[in-house]
Amino acid sequence: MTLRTTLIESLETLKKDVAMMADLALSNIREGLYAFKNNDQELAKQVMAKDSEVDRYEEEIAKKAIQIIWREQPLASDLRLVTGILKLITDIERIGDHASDIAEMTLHLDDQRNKRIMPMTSKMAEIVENMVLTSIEGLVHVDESLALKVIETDDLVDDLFNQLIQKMTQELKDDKVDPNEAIYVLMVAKYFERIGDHAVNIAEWIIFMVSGKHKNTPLF
Amino acid sequence: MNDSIVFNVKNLNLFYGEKQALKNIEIPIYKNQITALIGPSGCGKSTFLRALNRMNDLIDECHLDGKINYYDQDIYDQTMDVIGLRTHVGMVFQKPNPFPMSIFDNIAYGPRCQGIKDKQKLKEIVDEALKQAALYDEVKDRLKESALSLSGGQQQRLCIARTIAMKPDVILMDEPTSALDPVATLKIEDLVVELKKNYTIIIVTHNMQQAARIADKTAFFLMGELIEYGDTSTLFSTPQYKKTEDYITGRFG
Repeated sequence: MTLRTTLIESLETLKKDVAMMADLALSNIREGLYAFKNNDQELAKQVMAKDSEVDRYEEEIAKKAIQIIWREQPLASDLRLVTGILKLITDIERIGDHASDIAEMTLHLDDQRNKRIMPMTSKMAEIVENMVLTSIEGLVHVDESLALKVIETDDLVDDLFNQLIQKMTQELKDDKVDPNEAIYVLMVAKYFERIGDHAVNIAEWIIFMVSGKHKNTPLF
Repeated sequence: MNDSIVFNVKNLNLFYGEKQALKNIEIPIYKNQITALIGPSGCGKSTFLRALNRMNDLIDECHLDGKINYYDQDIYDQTMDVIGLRTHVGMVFQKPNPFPMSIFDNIAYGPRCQGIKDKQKLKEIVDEALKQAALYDEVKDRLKESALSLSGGQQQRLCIARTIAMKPDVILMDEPTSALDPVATLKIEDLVVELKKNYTIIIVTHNMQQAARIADKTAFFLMGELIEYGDTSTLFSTPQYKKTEDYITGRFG
């Protein structure tokens, strides 16, 4: 017999809210990248404006989580879930910031994008989006295996980022790319690399929800 | 942290007539630690507590097998001095139960029974016990008043002082705050934490937050079995067994 229906329902609502927050951040990433690739300045401005919605989600989720703590006094897996969520929403909020940053880069460039460099950034973007998606799926199901998958994938993103730097350096030496454009493309790639790191942070909090350990350190 | 074991319980089975109330309990109780016993009503936690100073002897048809060693003494050995055991292992009950006499006489009652007649000596014992029970400042000017005039929380601290006056080694507490308001409860909790410097404390509680706040070790009982025992921080954050997890998260009751 389940006694704590209110607590269980509140936790489910909290997880759904986090998933919605992450959906919004992800949609901003996609639109931010689209705006950058296609020099869509209007869309870029819309993405930047939508970042405040992600911030609002963070506040609302934090309020609900704190309310669960003082009202329901959760223990064991419930406590790990609530405290883990309180930590990982900061990473989702940062992901939202980076989506806005990517969109903002659009405003600095008004010419055609470099066709040789963009595909590599797009590949990074695709992998990173999947990392964020998988981490949120890992949260919804509190699934450690999905979290581990996210952490493993991060090496791939770092490799792609390093390859991009090398390629960019070479193209700059060969005078095949406009230095101004190179800087902004590299910044966009760096934002994706950081989003990957935040997905890893989320994954580490999911492992904490399962084991009580964060980066192998018991927090209790 | 003192690692010496005060009680070592081995393979304890306890029966009320045909009904088995405790099944194969194995647990060490450590000196100068607070051990909380938690679990739903009827799980055997109070029965276990009362087995530690043979309070169950007073119940007809209660019998047990297995061993409870108090240091190196088997407390159910026929040669055991039960009165002596209860002097070393005192008890505080759910409902404050002061005797209908003065505050002073409540505390002096035990020492007097032990033959202490010297008034100065008795005064020293009473004052010391009241101080340790964090009650002295509140009652020092009215020691001759009836203990029944005290508030519920004060009465419970008086009962703790009465136990302390016997200079025990272990204090057993059976839901000592369940009849008290939140402020009186917190005072008792602070007191219990303070007392562990000098005493070993075993406390039965239905309040899991209370166990989490004050206990070093926690034991979870269910249907006469000891399901899980360990550091309180581990038991309430990352319990090892699903039954413990289900109980402390309210998935069953």
